[in-house]
Amino acid sequence: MFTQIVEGFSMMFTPMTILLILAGVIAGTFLGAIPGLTSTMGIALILPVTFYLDPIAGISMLIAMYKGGMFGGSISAILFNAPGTPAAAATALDGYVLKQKGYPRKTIRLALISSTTGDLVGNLVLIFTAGLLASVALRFGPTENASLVIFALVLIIVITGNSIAKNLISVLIGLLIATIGADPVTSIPRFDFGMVELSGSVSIIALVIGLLAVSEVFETMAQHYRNRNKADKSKSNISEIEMGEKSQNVDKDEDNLTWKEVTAVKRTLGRSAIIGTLIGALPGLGPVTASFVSYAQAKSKSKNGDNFGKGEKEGVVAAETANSAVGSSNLIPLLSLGIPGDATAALIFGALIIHGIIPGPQLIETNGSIVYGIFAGMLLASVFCLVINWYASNIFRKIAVIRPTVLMPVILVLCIAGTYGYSQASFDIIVMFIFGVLGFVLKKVEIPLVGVVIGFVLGPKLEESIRQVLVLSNGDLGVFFTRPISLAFLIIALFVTFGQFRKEKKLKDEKKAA
Amino acid sequence: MNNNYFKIKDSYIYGLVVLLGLLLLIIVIPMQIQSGEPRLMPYLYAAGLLIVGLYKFISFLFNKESEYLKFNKTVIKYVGLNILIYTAYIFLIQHIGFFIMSIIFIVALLRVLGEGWKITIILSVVLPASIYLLFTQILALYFPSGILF
Repeated sequence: MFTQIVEGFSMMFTPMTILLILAGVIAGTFLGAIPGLTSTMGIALILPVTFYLDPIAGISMLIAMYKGGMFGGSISAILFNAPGTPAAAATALDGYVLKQKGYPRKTIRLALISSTTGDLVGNLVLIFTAGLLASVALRFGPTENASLVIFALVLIIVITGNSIAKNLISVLIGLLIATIGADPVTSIPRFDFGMVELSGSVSIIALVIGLLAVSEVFETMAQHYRNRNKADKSKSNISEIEMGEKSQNVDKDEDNLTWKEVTAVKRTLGRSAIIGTLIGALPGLGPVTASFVSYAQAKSKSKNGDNFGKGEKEGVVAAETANSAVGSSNLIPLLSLGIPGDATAALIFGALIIHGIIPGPQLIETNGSIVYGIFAGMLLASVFCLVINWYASNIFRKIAVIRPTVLMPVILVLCIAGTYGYSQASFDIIVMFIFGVLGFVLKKVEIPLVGVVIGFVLGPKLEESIRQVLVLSNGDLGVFFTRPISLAFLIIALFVTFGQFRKEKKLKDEKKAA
Repeated sequence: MNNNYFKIKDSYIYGLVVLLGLLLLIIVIPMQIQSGEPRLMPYLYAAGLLIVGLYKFISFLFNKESEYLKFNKTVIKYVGLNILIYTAYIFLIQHIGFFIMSIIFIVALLRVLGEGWKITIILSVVLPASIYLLFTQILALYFPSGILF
């Protein structure tokens, strides 16, 4: 193991990889800072490029982009009360008020310190637990693997938020798309509709670029037209918000973050980092849940609880630390069990697949040096994120007012270039476009896209495991309940489902009573 | 309700899911997949869609309290236009070529989105040229060339 760690770290420290991580952090921060654009969209776009890089450089760049994006989202939340990413919504609650009080730089730097702390804690937990979890999972047979995938899908369906029925539909759509192409056991073609191009399977690049980038651009277009409609009546776009609500003038020196101010929030930093890490390690939950749970916890534990929402520094710390911790710990189930917990993890799953590396318990055993190289890249990305963004806090104002409309055609052209560049197949451009439109329609009817992507990614593993179980047990499904680990996964999944149903019913009753 | 909006009942969406499930179970799977084991998982997933759709659709019928999704007609019209422009771009790229089509696409989209001529001209030339050079000169990949380049 020690040799793998040393080898991985030395493989990461090449000028090219360092440069790509730096570029990833800058691009992620840039995309995260512009409301309407997300780092997930950027990662989907960059994904085909990783094919031409070595796995450590490519995947470290994607993760660096995600880390940059997590922090970038807080910039526009603090400066304009317009969260660049949904996860930064909790940051805006106090961050924007602090900015209004005349402390934009102090607040951004506090968010940065929080983001880095959460990130580092998440990284360390990932580094120390992924190997352990993987060694346990190595003992899993097809029955346990099938139950594990079912457990992960159940978590994604019942605890992602919104409607359970719509989450289920979204996962089923993803699973169905995964069945297009050759049958994994008999290689008989399925759903190819007489097209040779579909006899393999749907290109993961075309699917993620369509679902996560193209549909996002269509959604941003819709937002642009909604704002334009409103602006005709009430003048309400970002630059006008900024000009309309002037901040108080505070002496420049007072707008600097001091060490004393950081140590004053150390408890909140620690607690929120743990909350974010735990939530991130569970499939289905994500940075949005983590930031709001952590914010609520900090509010109840803090002696300044009443000041939350009125410009409390601890509020910014709680939200930012937790959402950034998720960014690292969501890779725990991916790298140790082969289960992506959210869209970004699914994209990293795709990047590994592109390189012929199958995420799962064998990953550390067979490609240990690559995994440790990626871990080293993650740590370097955290350091770059802190250093660059600390000094760049003065130019954020300019980044965040870039109109997303200018970038929309750029992204749409890049979507085509990325999809075609990867496969050199015109057919994939059409597939990407179809998924882009499908993604936009699903979003409009409130069916989440994360479930589709994760269903697609986990579909082959689920089918293969179930078919193996059926062969080994002569069609007896009882084996799922006689093997202890498999039974444990199914029982937990059942408990989580019932718990969530009860919670939904209670909420419904309260709504009715109100 | 403002005339500029149209509403869709949530129950209709579940109705569509039921139709999709039925279509898969009765027509698509039997026609597209050889009988036997390869049909197992697609049948399970399609049945899942049918059951969840049917359950929600029937419960809406009994409770008569379906939620509504609200759409702004003007927004949908403009987004639809932008999607049409993108569709034309994607289908014409095979015949006209990446470089020329990208310029036309960026000009058309930026103008529809309300951007000025200055930024439109700069972006429409700089972006396709950079991508074209990056792919053909550095990565040695080729775009569909069509009749032009």
